[in-house]
Amino acid sequence: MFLITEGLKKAFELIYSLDPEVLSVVLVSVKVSLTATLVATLVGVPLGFAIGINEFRGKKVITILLNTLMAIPTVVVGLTVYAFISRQGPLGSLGLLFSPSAIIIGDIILGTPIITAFTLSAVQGIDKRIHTTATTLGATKFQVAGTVLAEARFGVFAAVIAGFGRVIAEVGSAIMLGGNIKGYSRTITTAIALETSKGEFGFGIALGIILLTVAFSINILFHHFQRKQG
Amino acid sequence: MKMNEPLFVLRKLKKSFGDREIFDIPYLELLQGKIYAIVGPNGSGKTTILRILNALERPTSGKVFFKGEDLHNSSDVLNLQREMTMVMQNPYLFNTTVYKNVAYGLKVRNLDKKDIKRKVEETLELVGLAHIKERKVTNLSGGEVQRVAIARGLVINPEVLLLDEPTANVDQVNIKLIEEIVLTIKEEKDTTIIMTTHNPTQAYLLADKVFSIMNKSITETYYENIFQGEVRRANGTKIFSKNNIEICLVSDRIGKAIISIDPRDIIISPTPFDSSARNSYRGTIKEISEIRDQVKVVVDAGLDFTVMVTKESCVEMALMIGSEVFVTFKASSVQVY
Repeated sequence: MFLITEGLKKAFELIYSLDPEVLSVVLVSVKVSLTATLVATLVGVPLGFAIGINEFRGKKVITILLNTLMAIPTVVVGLTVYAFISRQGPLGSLGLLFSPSAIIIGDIILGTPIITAFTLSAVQGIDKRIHTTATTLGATKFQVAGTVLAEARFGVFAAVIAGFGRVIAEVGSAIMLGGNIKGYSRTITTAIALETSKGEFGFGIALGIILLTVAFSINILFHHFQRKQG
Repeated sequence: MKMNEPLFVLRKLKKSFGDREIFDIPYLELLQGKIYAIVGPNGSGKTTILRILNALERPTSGKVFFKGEDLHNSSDVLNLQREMTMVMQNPYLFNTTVYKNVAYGLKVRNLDKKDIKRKVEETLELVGLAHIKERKVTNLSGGEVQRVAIARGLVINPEVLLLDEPTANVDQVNIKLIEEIVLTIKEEKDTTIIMTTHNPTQAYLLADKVFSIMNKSITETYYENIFQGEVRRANGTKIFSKNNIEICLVSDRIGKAIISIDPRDIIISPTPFDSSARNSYRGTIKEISEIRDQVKVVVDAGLDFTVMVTKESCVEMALMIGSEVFVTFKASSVQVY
């Protein structure tokens, strides 16, 4: 009990004083997660949309594969990317290991299947009349596709939010690929893991609170944007 | 398009879904500026005809010519399609405001904002929805949904407006409103309207020409006085019987059959009508209603016969609900399916 109350006290002190170390960790986390979500969205939304509106052989297999990838353990992604970008790996010469870029690569791999799968189900779930309605009103094929996507926007937003949630909360691949280097590649989650193992509960709890606050703020932002669009 | 050339020509048009043949139309012309109604029971292929005319669906075989162009094999389907629009029976409204829904067709045609605003407002005025233009479509009644959908089609100012059962899912007040909208379009614009309905009275009220789909083919017979029963041979003629009423007809068919009698071919008279017509029945009037310059009279003579008479003769004969009258028609006026 003492640990927890002490931890909370420390947390508020750190947040209140805008501790530079805490700030740096938060900034790295937000930057890495937003970049990864952006890339995963740019890949996942069009991909999910294309799979969703077209009928082709192997669609079921792809859907099952995507659903499996959604559940892939973060350490497995960390391991795989590690193998590619480590000094001996095929992309070793790029010097990406233990950098924020490496975390971003891992996060993109984690976020893309989620955004793709959720977009796919959002597009498949929409009303079949949208296509006919847009066509009979004179829309070109491209405009029809845009309209279908616009009508599925709530589901697509949910997909992006879910993707963001996955990458900001993940710790396994961030530790393996980022290396948890102070002031450079240390993220909120990797810092919590490290500080807790060192016995620094206050620092850990402070970061935990901040992580929740960041996730909450970004979700509010998304929600606001979504409402405006609706 | 050359003058007097029909807007649509349907040639040997067939549609099947799998093994099931929906319809087979050998030849049909539809003229510019007219209102056509297609009447038929559910599942008779009314909607499919409209979808084929709008190039939303391909026929199984045969061709549709629109302004002389082979619609389904044109290299420019989009621009042909843009001259018409279809309002579905259960319209889908885009999940946004009434205004944005109506503006859709103009937006995809890249009109500038000012023109869009003017046209949308004019059209909303026409369908009586100007006061709810900023409302979200999720808060509309069934009748309002249908009117937004009609406005969304009309705003494009299409040459052809295809209306699929425009009043099937709306209340009485909105049925009247929608019928009036169609009559207004007819008076003010040169739009060709092709509509489907299962209500023959409405078809007759709105259309210049009424087609009915019967037994997979499209005919110009009136879709009214339809009876199901049996035809048998008797004394060298054919007799159709139903509810103890026997109707003489001319046909090769024996056994179960559907017959129809055009209400304009039935004569109504206060006393027995002296003529060579084989079928004459006594009955009482159970319904009288005015449709444009005609009067629709329903006579219960064991079967309900619908008869169309002019206003003048209705007044002359002093027809009233409850009056005893005779209905008379020739054996050759009976269509057998």
